[in-house]
Amino acid sequence: MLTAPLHRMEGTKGHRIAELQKQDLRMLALRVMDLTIERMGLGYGAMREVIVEEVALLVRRADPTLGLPDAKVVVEIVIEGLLNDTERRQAFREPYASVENEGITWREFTFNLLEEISPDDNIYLRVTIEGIHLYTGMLGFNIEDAQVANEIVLQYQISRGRLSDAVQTAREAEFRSIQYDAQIQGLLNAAKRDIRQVNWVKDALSAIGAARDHILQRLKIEKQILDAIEEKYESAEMEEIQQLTALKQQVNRCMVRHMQLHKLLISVNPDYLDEQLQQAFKISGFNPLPNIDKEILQPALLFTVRQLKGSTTGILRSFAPPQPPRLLSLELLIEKLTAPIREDKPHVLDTRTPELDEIETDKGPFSVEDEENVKLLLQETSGPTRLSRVLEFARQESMPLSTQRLLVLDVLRNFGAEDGEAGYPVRLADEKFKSANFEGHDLTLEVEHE
Amino acid sequence: MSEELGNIALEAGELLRYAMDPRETPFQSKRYSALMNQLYTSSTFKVVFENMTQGLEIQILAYSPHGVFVTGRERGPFAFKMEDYKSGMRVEERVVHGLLMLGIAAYCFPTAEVLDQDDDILRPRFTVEQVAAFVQGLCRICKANNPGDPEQGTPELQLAWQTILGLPLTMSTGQGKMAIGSLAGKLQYALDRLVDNGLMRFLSEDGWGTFQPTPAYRIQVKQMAGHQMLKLIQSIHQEATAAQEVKPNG
Repeated sequence: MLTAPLHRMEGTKGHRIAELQKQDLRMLALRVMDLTIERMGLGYGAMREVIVEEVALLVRRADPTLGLPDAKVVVEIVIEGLLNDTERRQAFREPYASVENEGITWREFTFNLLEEISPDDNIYLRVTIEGIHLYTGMLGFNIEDAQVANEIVLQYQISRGRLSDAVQTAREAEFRSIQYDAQIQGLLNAAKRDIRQVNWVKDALSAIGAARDHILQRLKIEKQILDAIEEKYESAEMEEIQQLTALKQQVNRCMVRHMQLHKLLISVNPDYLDEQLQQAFKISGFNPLPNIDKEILQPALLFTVRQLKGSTTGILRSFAPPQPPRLLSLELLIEKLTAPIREDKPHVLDTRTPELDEIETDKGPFSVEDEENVKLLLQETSGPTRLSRVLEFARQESMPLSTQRLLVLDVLRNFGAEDGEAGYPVRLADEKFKSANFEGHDLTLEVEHE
Repeated sequence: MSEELGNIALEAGELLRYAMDPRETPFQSKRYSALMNQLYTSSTFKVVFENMTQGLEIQILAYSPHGVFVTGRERGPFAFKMEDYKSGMRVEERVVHGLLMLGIAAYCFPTAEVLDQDDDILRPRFTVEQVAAFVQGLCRICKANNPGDPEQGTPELQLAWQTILGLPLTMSTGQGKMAIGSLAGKLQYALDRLVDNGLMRFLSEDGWGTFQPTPAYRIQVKQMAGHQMLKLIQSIHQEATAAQEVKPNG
């Protein structure tokens, strides 16, 4: 029955998006549960986005044509299916027939597989006890036997110094302890939910006795494993110390879980008796909380507005926190009233056109006189002449600095000009020069005169 | 008065301040968390805190790992007033807002068993579009079950489902937003108030707004709203029945 929602998900995928066609949603659902259970050993559960990221890789392996966003959508569909989002996360309901007093009675088995929880403002996924049962059933082995086998392997690996293997085995051992915890909780919850479902004296008490023995044995072996880890610490190297610390933490977590379970099993008989007492007087199907839809909303829709108007404040009050009244402080009031008035700036952007002054743009850094001087200087040259010589001549003739700058720029422009574009040829001289205003490689220019 | 008792009173006041701000949680504030711890470990602190709230006419709804949940008692200084929700509403508009609050709660908690789950278990994400369809669907069932002509008269004489069905599903304002005169607009307004009170998380604009209830919403609905609302509906039903019984003799 527990697998029915998974089969339904797979069976109805044809009605949904085309991206699901190459996927086995049952396998993906089990993978989601597997990864979530794995992280439940470390805290509250798994962050939804982490699960989506990891399972999306598996989705893309089944259909490499899918991009990562589409693969994530597929995983979200699987998670929503496990949460039963289409039925607003109500429990899955599977009808079954049972033979009672030589007749057939139809009953309904209700369960959840996955839950989204927020125990600390963060959001996690958590596999329910029934979900863990489903997953364990899929693996097809007895949890108690698997736990014993894990521990033997773990002891062997630690004694042989195979620590990286031991870390992996300890992870599996922790996984088994979570499963075993769920198995015992499931048994106790079934008894608490409806004591008629469980034969307490015949089945439950003997199962609890066996569980106590099993847990005591686990605690004993886990203590031995911790001792072996402590011994290994003495001769361990740096890398091994990290592995041993990880091992110790995992085994410690298993021990804590088993101790809590043992405590629960010791106190379970009085709890059961209390429950039996309460349930003996309980009306079947009665819940002290109302069904808001059927008992409140639907009857309310049939009343007139006039009949309902007196109750509206009461309804809205139900969803509001206390409204603190504003208390008057005369001192503060006077202070506020007498404070200088602040000039409120308008809430619109200042879109006025700025006043602009025109600036002179026709006057460049060089004057007409500079241009005439440069022409004159170039005309004075005969044959190949060094730039340094021309500058020296200009200085001797008391030509302004701007003329000398314009000359340098003109020579540099002709030096860098493409072939055929230069006014006169300029080449690099072998020497450097330094004057009061200029320094660098000297250039040789050759102006052809008409 | 001993200095110790004075400190306890000071810290009880501090805890009440945190409790009255529904967006504060012990997970966000170390101080709130420490005060909650004191509440669980010191019986004197608990007594002082509870007496203080009683004196202020504040009702404690629940102590939870998610915080202390309180509400103002009716006619007390901290009581809810309709203006705190929305001012200037006509009677029929007020009633519709109240029913839509019920509609959101009914959509989030479809059965008593779901409401009874652990506080940490989250309810699904939902859109305004989905809740609007849910409420309209219920009203249409009411209409199908009452095929006679609707009673004509003032809006106050209309049945609640008729008033809701009379609303347009959507309507745009000049700025392109959802108008509050529409069913979706009213739901958006109600959900925004729940977000303000820390009872909902806004997730996206999809489906006219996507939201998810916080654990505080379940606690609030479970501890107070459920019983309070049921009592209100039962009292209206009793009044209506009594009025019908009186009529033939009158």
